[in-house]
Amino acid sequence: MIQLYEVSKTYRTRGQSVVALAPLSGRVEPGEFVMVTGRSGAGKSTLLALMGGLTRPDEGTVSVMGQDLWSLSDAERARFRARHIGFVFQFTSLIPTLTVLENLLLPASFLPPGEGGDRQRAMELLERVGLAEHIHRYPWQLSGGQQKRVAVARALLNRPEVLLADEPTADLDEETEREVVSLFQEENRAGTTVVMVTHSTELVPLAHRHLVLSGGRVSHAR
Amino acid sequence: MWGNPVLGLLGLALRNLLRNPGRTLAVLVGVMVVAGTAFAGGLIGRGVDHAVARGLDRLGADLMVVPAGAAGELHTALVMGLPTAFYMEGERALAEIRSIEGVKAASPQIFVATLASSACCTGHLMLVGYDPSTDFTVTPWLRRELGRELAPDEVLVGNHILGVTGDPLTFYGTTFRLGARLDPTGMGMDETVFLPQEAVWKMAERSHELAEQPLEVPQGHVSAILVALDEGADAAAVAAEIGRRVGGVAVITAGDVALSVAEDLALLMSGLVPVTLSVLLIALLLFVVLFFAIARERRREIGLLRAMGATAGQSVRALVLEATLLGGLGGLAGVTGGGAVYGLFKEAIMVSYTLPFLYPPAGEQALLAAAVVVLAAAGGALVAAWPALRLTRLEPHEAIHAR
Amino acid sequence: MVETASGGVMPMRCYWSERAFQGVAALVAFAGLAAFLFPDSGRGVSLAVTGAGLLMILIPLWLVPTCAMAGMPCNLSFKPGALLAGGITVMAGLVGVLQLRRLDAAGVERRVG
Repeated sequence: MIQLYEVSKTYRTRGQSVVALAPLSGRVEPGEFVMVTGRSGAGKSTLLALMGGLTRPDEGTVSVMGQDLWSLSDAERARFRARHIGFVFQFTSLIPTLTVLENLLLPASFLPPGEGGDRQRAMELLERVGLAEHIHRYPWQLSGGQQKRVAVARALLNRPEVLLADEPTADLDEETEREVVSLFQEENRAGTTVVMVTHSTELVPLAHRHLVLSGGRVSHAR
Repeated sequence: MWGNPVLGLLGLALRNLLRNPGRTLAVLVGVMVVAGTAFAGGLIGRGVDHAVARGLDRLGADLMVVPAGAAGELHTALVMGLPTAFYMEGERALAEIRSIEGVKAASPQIFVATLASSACCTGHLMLVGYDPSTDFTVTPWLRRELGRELAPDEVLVGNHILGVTGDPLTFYGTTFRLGARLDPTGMGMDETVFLPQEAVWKMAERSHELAEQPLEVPQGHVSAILVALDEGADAAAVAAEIGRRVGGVAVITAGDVALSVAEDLALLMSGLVPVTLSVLLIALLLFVVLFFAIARERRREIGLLRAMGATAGQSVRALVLEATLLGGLGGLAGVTGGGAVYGLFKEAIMVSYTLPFLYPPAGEQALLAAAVVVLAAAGGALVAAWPALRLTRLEPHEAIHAR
Repeated sequence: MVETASGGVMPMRCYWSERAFQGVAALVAFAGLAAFLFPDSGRGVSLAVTGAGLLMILIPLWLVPTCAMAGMPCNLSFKPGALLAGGITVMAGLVGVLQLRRLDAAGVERRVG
């Protein structure tokens, strides 16, 4: 599903270079659930960003579902993401001026009508995350955990084949953390490939595979 | 919201603007002031032109002959209706003028400044005595609108004179009746009272008994001779010939009046234009600062939209739309507010600069207003395009994680 | 009443003095109503300010009207200035009534005193 070949990424700021990811190759098979752990600055977010085509690798190729992401134009890559990749981020990622329902329907607005999810799909997802009565509320009227659940539902709107989650359970209480991870597991059982970055080592056993990053390299893989 | 794309985007833009209402209001006020000033300036320019065209057209004269040295007073009387009175010998001058080639018609007028009233609401008025047999200024209007001449005790008033038909008006002890009211011209005619010259002479005669101060109008004298030219006649040449044949006079062409008004207008604009430009600069600065701040605040949000599948252009579309909406709303508020404030202070402004004014036709005003609003909206879009463009150059990952 | 030189009649000063007084009395009554409708002082005062703005407009227009001659100084500067100031005051008062209401609905605590 996801193939990285000799990808590397270095950030240059104010004349200084920081190697986020040393040349790295690997595969994530369709239907796999991969957990990625590592200390801060190990390159976890960069790895996820490369997988999702959010940043261009300095070298190497990134392919998702057989498509070399960087052979596409910016617009084509954006559409590819809308159709095939869902993202969940650590920070509160709902648009504050949109209601819960409007936030949820956002990914569909970037695809031609009929290609992405619709209102029915949005309501189904909201039912699954237990927030169906809150469709007209604004993000500031929800708790942190509720907002995160909406963000997860949003990532699943267009039925993506790949779900990339960057520390989705940070700042969440245990119960909400379990709910979110079990959602991921449900999707994974239905066939979605999931790559999740986390600090919580207790969650690692829930995945098929575990990668540990350190200093931009894979130091351990189970 | 997503059913109607245009309304949905506009609604989103409005909601975004209301995220920080204080900041939005500050910029809106800036745009409003610029738009209001520009609109008022445009209105003044077009209104002055409109008044001059209407006024000179109503006057019907191509040339006006007055005593030498009285040209300035004539100008203020014509433009502002400020009462004035001067006299020159009439019969010989008229005969000479009528004999000049190119002159179609010549008609005398007698100017009288009324006494100031001690009570409120009647200041000085300008009376003009005309010759009904040769007049081409008010007589055509009377025939068209009234279908008759004025009765001996009737007067025709300019549009701004108070009173209704039949009301008494007393000048120098003689009481007249308000016979009819002229349409507005925006010029001095609006403050003028017209009556046959015969009535002026009778009033002068009776004033020795009836009035507080007597009115002296030398017999056979006139204040001005209005001249209409043949089609194609050279106004300057005829004016020169009149000056040569009739000594001791000044000849003013309609063009002279228009030029003089244009000079006064330029004086007003020389004050207004720098002010408008300065405010424009400030408003632009406010706009740039605001939208750079907004772009910075929304960087992560825009990165997120791109992660979800928005193209670079789509992700900043809302930002540019907000700027357009803010500019447009500011423009609309400015046109409304500027028009209202101008309407309140119009008299004071025009009197200060000795300018005539008549509101241009409604269609022209609407066009001017629309132009100001469109320019404000377009300006907003252009200004926001700069920070928006910078945002599109970031990779989604950069935008999401930038500090 | 007093007769003018042009033959009209006009009320004397005491008449206008009474009119002005009536205007202020109406404002005081309105302020009382505002305090009754909005016990919290913020919105009550704002509504009273709206009333004051209305009075500013009504004085030159109706209560103690300026003369009808467009060229008089009162009509050139005082009246338009009064109307503009009155209009702005009315808007400011209304904003206070609405804006403060919005704060209340959002549950923001407002200090008393």
